[in-house]
Amino acid sequence: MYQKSRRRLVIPFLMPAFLFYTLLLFIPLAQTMWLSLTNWYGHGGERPFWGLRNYKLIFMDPQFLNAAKNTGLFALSGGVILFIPAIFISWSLTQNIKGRGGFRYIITAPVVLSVVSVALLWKLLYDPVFGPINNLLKAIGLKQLALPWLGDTRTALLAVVIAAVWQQLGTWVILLSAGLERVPAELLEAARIDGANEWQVFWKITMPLVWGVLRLLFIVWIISSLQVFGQVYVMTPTGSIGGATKVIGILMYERAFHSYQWGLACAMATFLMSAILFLSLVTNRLTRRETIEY
Amino acid sequence: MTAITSHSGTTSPCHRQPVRWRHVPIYLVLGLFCLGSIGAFVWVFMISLKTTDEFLTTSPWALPRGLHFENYASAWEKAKIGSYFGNSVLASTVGASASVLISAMAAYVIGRVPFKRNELFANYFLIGYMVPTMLTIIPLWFTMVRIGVSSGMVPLVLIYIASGVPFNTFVLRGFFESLPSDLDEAATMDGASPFRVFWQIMLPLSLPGLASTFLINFLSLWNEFFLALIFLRQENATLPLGLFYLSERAAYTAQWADLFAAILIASVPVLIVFALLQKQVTRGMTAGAVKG
Repeated sequence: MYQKSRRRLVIPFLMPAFLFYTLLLFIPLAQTMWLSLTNWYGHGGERPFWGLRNYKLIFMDPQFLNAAKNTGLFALSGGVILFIPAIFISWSLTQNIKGRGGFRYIITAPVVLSVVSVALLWKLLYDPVFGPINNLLKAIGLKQLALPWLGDTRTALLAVVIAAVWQQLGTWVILLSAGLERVPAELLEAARIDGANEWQVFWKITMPLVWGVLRLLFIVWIISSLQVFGQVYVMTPTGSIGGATKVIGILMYERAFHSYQWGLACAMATFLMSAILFLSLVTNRLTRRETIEY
Repeated sequence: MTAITSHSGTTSPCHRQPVRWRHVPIYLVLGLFCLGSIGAFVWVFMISLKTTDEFLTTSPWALPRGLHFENYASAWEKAKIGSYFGNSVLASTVGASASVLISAMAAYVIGRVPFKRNELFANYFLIGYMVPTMLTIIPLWFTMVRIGVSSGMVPLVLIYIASGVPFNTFVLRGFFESLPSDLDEAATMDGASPFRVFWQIMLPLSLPGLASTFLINFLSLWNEFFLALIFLRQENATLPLGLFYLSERAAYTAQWADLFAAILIASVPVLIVFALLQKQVTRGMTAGAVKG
């Protein structure tokens, strides 16, 4: 009787979320995959099926290959650059140091800033004329290092990655700190009593216990960095010189909303989605360790 | 600023030593990093007080000659940051509240009302967790065109509501499940209808969870750029999009002072919110991650 009356809630309570989610997320997802198999362009309503031709076309397009390379480099270099500082900083914040709360606030605060604010801030910092970075380099006599960071094919992508990392570091520190705080202090104390030094305590005990969090962070980074758009677009709307920072997200946007090659853009979206799925599964598999109960 | 000071109180007071030698590299790294971050904002602040002429003719390090706080008024009105700010408040508040509400209803049923397909629905919603909204934009945009709302706040907020559902149902289900299991039954026995049990008992009890979830939704919508770029124009932009357009035209309309002031207008409120609600933001982020 009681359960039955409650079950009357099921449909009306599930319906709104179900409809929003299905109509505005799930169906468009399926449509994207379907449309990637059509020769759909321009303003016409014709969407003739032509199989995998779009995929063939994007893989022969040097611009797409360049974008795929840039996206991969963005994800890879960002992950590598994030890894060490995030661990060191989170670990530092568990130590008994003065001003810990202040440090934690300043390091994690960029998390709540908008991608646009952060990208603009860095774009201005990098500015070759008035930017403080180059002025600082000139002031300390390193004039040859004062490059036009975002306008040089050698540095543009890295410059964008650093801005993204500066913002993303906060997420890593917040989640890693939460993981580190759950490591029982007695466990670390016991290891120290047994004669382990801090380095060993960290690598042999702390790291294995927060490994789950790190894995998750890597996977979340892969998902978010492969679809990167805002950071790069705001700093270099045209993809820098020779497309040095043109990532798949930007190319897809241009193909769709500038040149109306909808089918082609859908193929890029589907490719990106598969890449995200595949790489996060691979990372998930590669980083799997035995879970440690404590 | 309470969130900042509360942390230092937790360090054990019994062996408070001056400065330990092994802490020197820690202070060095954290100090340099923070100095750089603060320096960047101080620089933006300094330039936001200069006139555009002064900015273009003096060294970027030079202190402002006068305090031109009128740049903020100019950014707010002439550069339309005020109207962008209003649009962002509207889109984020409506989007986040509606999304949290419908997700809470779904999560409640999935988590607490046993029916045949609880897990099926849970997993169905979870698929969306992996799918970036950006990759569904083309059919989505055409659907909006077809139903006659190809631009403006309406399609944007509708998509905002949908995009929060996977995260929200996932996190809120956890909150609802953590409430004592005989609660709804006891209330029902006392004569409350199932709907009242949800509305007057379950929702208030899960308020901390709802608040964290709302906060995370609000912040991510407040910062959203891609969908705004698709559905809005310069005239009705949200704050991130408006900032972007302002930065694109700053160079040739000599609106540098406006731009620097605008960056601070966009950043300072969220930085203050984060200072006050650091715990809630952190909890929201970890709730979504730890179980994922």
